[in-house]
Amino acid sequence: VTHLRRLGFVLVSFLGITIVTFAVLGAAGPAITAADEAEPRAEPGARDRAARLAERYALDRPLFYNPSPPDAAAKRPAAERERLRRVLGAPVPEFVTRLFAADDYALSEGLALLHREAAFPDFGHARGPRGAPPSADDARHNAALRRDAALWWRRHENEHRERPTIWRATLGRITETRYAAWLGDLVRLDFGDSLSIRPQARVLDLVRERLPVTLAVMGVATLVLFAIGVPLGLACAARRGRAFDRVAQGALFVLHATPEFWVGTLAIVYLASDAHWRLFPVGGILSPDVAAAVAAGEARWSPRVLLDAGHHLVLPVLVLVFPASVVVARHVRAAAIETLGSRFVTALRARGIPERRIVFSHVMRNCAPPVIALFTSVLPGLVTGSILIEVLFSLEGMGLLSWQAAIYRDFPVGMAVLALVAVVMLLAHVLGDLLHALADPRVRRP
Amino acid sequence: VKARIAICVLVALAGLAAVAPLLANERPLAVVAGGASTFPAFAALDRADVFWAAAFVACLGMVLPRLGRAALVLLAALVAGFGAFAFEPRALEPPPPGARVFSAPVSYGPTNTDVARRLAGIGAPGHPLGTDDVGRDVLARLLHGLRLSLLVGFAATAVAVAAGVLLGVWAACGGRAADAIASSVVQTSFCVPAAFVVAAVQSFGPISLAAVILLLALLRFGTVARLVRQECLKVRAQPFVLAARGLGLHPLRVLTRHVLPNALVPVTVAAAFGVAGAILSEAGLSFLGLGVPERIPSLGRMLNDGRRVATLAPHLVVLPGLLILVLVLACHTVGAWLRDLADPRGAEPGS
Repeated sequence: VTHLRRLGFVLVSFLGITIVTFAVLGAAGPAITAADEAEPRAEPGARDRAARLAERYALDRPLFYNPSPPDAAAKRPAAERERLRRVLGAPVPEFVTRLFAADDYALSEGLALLHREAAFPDFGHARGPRGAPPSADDARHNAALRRDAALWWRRHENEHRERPTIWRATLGRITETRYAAWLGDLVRLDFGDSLSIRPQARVLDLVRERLPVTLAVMGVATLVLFAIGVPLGLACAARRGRAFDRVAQGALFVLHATPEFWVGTLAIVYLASDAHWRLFPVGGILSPDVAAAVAAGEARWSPRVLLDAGHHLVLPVLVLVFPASVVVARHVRAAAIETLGSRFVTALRARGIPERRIVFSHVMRNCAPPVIALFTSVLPGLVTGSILIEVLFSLEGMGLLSWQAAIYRDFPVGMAVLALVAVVMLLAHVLGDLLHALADPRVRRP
Repeated sequence: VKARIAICVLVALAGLAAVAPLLANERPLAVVAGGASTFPAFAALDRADVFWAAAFVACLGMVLPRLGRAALVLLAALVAGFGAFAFEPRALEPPPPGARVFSAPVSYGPTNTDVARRLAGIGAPGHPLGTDDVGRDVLARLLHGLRLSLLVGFAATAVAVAAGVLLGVWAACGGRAADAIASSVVQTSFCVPAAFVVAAVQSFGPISLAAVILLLALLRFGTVARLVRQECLKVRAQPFVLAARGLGLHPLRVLTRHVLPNALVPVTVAAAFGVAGAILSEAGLSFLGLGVPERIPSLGRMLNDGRRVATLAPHLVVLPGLLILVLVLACHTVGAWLRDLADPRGAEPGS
């Protein structure tokens, strides 16, 4: 039952996340079409960008509740439907399904027919020679056309299907809404096309390129975080009250208040520029020559590539983790000092085991649960910091993508990144909970 | 002792911020020509500036002992009354020849450019802390940026605490359904990172200062709500609440007079750290160019502008960062002090 409750919480939080991102969209929705009416772009189909965006975000629908969901019977009289069936040789839904299975040319011709007969929008024509493989440009155009038509059909399918009355009274009222359309796209990982970062590229492709970099940086950062924080905290606990501990506490207090972007900037200026010392490279995750070698087919995991990437990541990772490692070090110190007062430590001391070994082996194990619980609380700082360091060090990750989306006003990308990051954070929370329960069997709370 | 220093630093910085438009302004404070005198800098103040000064004086009044408090509240009322006049910013007229001009200590505003002296170092004539790459006075920008940082820090925290307290009390006292709803709201707010939300909103178009404050607050109320809920549940289980209930007091009265004052103690600690966090977030966002609109001077933006010329003029990068560091450090010290006051068991000698 506790597992079910936990699952329920995750689901509710997921819905919450989608509602938050949807609210961002809803707050700015009217601006979408307003901004585009000034500048209609007819690529790739004949429909301009405003119409396609209105379709994408289902702007013509109510937000959460649709009192009259569309239905073929309500939309068209029976005689009209009969005529369409004769013209097309099949009912509209089946005809369209067959179209999507056909090649690009048949698809665009079928869509043109539907445009004339059944009030479909004009999606434009497929390009390229028929029968022969099209050029890359034409293939991209045709793929965009296909996506465009598929999206339109997904949104308007129900206007051409006959639905039972009960559907119109219940489910249809919920599913034929703006939020349901948004949620459906999100679950399908269909975030639409990028507007300005790379026009007409699928947002999903952009994200797929950028995600590995961010995940790698975050993974390394997490390791470094605990590799710095835990020993430092334990060392302070072992020498509590002495000069080392006092100095470290003071330094940690100041470090905790230090803005990481400031440290990052200073690090670039003093450690990675030609004016002072050039100890570290800046910009990207690989040097140009190594990146070229990888593109030319060198193994991705060869020592040279890994070393180069590591060299590039030293500064970003250090800048990213120092605020969080301060938090970890202080919590570890507090937990360790608390454990040092317990009876088993006295027993260990009585057996003559050196203090250092007690702290670094026996006490450390007892500090594991609070440290794992801590991870979820430092995670937001790490994720927010990832934007800063990715922009500062121009690492091509999700943070940089989100920043570009804001700077170039590419809102499909911005929303997609927000939703994905939130879902990843949710998963991290769940993972943290599970690990916590694993490390500390007393914690079996929902 | 540390806490006292930190509070003094905060108060001093807030005071500087409150009177920033009088300290750094291209308009002279007073021009005396013959018998008539005009006050261009004062005339250009708007209501927000005056409100700031009044709020600062009122806040100062709260910490001082009683006599000083009365005097300062009076002063605040006076300042506020002064602000009720509608000031109309007029175009600056060159002072007539022979007039005695009393200029502001820094005779440049945060956006005025002194093109002839770009990238001046510290101690340049007329620019105590130098100028940046387009000739804006660094000290003037620091003072005005400080103002923005403090405004965002305190306003965002105030909104976050208000929302968090409401939600937390509702969760603690509203029954199981309320608790479930509130805790899923809180859980959701933990999963949504602030910077990405601001970036997503910015990807539709530029946002205003109020929107930045609201967003930062929205993403911080979760911690407060969780804290308030815990504390409310803890306090409600104590005998004196039962006694108050036994006396037949109205539940709302029990809540506001007996439960909340005791439950809010840890919230003040969280608020002190929250101010620091909000200041850092705002500076970080402005650093990325995702924060407040460009015309408002901000410490983070100064840092970003200075980045381009950091090798030529390191003070452009070092000074704003140091100011942020001092601000945040002061907030943290106050927070740690409050924490030790609220929970003396956790306090350690010398920390």
